[in-house]
Amino acid sequence: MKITVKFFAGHRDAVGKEKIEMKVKKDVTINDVLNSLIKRHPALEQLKDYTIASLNHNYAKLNEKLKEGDELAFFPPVGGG
Amino acid sequence: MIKITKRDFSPDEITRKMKKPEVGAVVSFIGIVRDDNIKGMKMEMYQEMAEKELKKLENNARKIFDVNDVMIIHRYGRLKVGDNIILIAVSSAHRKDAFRTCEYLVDELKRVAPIWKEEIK
Repeated sequence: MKITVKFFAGHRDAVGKEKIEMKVKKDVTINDVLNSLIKRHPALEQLKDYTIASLNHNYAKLNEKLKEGDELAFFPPVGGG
Repeated sequence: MIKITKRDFSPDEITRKMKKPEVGAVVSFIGIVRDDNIKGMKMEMYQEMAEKELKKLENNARKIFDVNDVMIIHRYGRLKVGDNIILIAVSSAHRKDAFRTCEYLVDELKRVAPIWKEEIK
């Protein structure tokens, strides 16, 4: 199934892209996707402990499972205002 | 009301619109780019999620406090020292609710809104 993954701030710099499309297997978790991205983009490894995930614009836990068409995002701790 | 924008805003104009017969207090917070030996700040935002999170914050604030109106404007893009970053304005019948709501929104926004600052040297 197909998902979209977005990256922000330091995570975008580590990956070198704002957004990618990925094909993943059924029942894959957010953590599985993150680990496969770390293999492709080793610069993400050092950010792993500071990684926050969102799924379809809501904060998400790394053990959540994905479904077709999901929009996943990875980013560092937030700090606006 | 929530607004995510590149453009500057007029705090006076916004707070003036919040004056209604039932309103006895308007409290506003304006976040500004401070000169920490920088030229400015780049504000990055996950726009769709930021709008959703700010809307949730507004709804929570309305459940907790007795407020009349809430306005949150957050800018993104490149900002210079002295530029406005954010406006949070709250109107209420009484000052305590307006102050508390405004403080709650500022604190929570910093904790949950997917927004990042990058200094421009």
